[in-house]
Amino acid sequence: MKDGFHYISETQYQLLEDAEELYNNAPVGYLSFLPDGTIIRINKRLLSWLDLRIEEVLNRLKFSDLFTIGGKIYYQNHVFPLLMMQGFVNEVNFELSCRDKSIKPVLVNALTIKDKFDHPLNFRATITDISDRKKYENQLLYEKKKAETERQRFKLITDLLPELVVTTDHKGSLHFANIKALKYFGTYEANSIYDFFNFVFPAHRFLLLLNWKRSLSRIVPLEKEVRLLNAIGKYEWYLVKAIPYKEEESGDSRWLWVGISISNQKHLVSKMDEFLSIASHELKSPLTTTKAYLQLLLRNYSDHTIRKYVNKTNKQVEKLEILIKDLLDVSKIQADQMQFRFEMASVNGLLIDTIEALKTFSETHKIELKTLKEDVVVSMDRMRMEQVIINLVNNGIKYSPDSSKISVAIEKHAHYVVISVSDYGIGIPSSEVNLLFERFYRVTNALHVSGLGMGLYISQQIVHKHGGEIKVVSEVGKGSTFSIYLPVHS
Amino acid sequence: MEILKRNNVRVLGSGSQTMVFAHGFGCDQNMWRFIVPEFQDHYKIILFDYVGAGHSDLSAYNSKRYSTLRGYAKDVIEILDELQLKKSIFIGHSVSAMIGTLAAIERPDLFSYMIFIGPSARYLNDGEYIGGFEISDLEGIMNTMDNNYLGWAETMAPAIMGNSDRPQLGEELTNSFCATNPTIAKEFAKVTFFSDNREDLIKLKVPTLSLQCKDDVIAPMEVGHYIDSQIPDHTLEVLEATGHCPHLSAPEEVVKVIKNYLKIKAT
Repeated sequence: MKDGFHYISETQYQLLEDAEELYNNAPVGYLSFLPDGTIIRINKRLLSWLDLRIEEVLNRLKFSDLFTIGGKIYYQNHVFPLLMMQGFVNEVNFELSCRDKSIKPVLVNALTIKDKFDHPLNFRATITDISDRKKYENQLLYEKKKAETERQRFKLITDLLPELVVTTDHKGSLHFANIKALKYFGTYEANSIYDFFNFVFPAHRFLLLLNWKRSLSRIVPLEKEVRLLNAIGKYEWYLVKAIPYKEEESGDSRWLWVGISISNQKHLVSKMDEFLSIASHELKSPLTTTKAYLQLLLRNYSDHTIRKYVNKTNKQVEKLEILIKDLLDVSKIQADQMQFRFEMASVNGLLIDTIEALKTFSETHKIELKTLKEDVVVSMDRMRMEQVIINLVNNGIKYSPDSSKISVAIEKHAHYVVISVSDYGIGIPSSEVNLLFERFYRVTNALHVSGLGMGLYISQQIVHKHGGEIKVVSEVGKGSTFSIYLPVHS
Repeated sequence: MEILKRNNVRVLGSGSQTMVFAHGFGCDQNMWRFIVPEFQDHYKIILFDYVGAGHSDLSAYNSKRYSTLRGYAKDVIEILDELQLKKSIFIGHSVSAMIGTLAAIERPDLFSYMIFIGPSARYLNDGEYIGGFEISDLEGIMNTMDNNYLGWAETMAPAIMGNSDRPQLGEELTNSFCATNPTIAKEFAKVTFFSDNREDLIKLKVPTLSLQCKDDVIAPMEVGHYIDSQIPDHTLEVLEATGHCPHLSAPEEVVKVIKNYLKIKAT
């Protein structure tokens, strides 16, 4: 048994041996030093970090000798005064300067041991290796810097765009807005806007929300023309596009919104509508007068030649009348002023009467009608529906010069009827099918066919007013089928 | 009144002669706590914090004014003028030695003796002159400061964890009884380590005592000898104490040397 320990038990001695073991091999450095810095005790762990032998250190090196120059100064200027006055320091960052000139970042905790007169006897320091932490810290800072650079780049790009760009959460609360959007909405901070939809024209808000929910549930992009409130309290037209995305980190769903200004476009369109409305009215009155004079001619002259030319003129005037009526319809639709008189009417009846009338005019094509065995009654404006069917049949005739047949059929389903008009003509290129119903659109493979491109537009609008839909199936060189879907209310 | 508040000036003790204690970089007037009791029975004691340090008025900090030691010297002059004190004994630690020098050159009437603890006229080596540091060492010093003063708590934590709205976290971790604003501390460090007052020493006409420690990393022995060779009326005392803060580590010795010097000068 060692001197000085003879009065303690065997077990306690064992414990002390453990303490010695712990002192030397714990994963932290321990050392004690005098007020002048002279190191008087050091554990093996710290020696191994420094790559020094105990005899090179004890009574030879001072505490601050273990550190880099910055640490030496920091110790003398900051840490030593703290140890003297406060009696301890915690978690001071130092860099150990090892034998091979390598540097190990450490945290130092130190305590002042004082005598009964409050004079410092020595200091004890615990040193923790924080190489890993420093490494991760640096990596974090690097990544953060990188992310910041990316953010800057994104901001630069979006700020240069002429469009409004914002991101929102699923409730419409803004997270980001480019400069253009900040200026438009009259704010400095994107997150000051809690509800993007408040900026949407009230009448458009519901539709946009509806579309938004729809595109959210299907994860598809949203596209809608709406009016947005600007900083000076006026609404401007925007084509709003939005796509949902998931934020990688949080997993939150976000929306990227882009607003493209369509004010100019909307302005031009409204000018055109205005012109259309005036022009069709202005054209109508001289035509009515012309027709009246032609009537007078027929009544007052029985000469065969005169009657022949008057009849020919009348036919041309009727064509003109139809064109002008279409123009008028278009402008009425635009102004939402087209009048409808709904009544319950038989589908078979509608078709039989309409096709009967058409047959008398059609010289080139035979029109086949397949009616329903069991007739169905739907709510319709009979005159307007007649107009649609005449338009579809006439189109079929115009676009199938080399064929001689038009098939019209009715099909009945549980909740709707389908009236289909098929021709066996030139067909429509698939790339143009979606454009057919636009105002003034003309199919490119049939520009020689006369027309203003209004018929399908008017037809579609009429069918929409009936709560229905027109669909097209077409193949170039084989022909097209236009199907009118009309709801049946039981 | 503004000035006294600005520099957290405290007046203690009693006596016909005044002692002004000027702390060094990175600390505040607290560091004089072992010295002051030894003098306050016979001297009027003036303690203060430089603007940016201790309990000074941080809002009075002005990067331009304090971009040179002259700005800090102005503080010293303003404090003494405010208190209408003349012929004071100036005791300055570390960088305060040169602040005192500048003040005494401009206003010799304010001072009777200058006592410097660990002074340095220039910290960087320059040709024949040994200041103790190479310019490359400064980076190491700034790094260590960054890691501590401006370390994890002050810079890293908000940068990474985004808790800049929780400054108390920083305060908890900053190891200092003289918790200086980190930005100011760093600026003060730069002003200190880039200062060069070698030309000024010869203009100091007030009798001066310098206390030089052994093993002072910040102000090595060579610097003490250089100062001794430049100030006209100068006494150099090499202490047994080590390090840069003998007034903390060996207050008895410091007090003894100062008292002895003042006694000799008085006779």
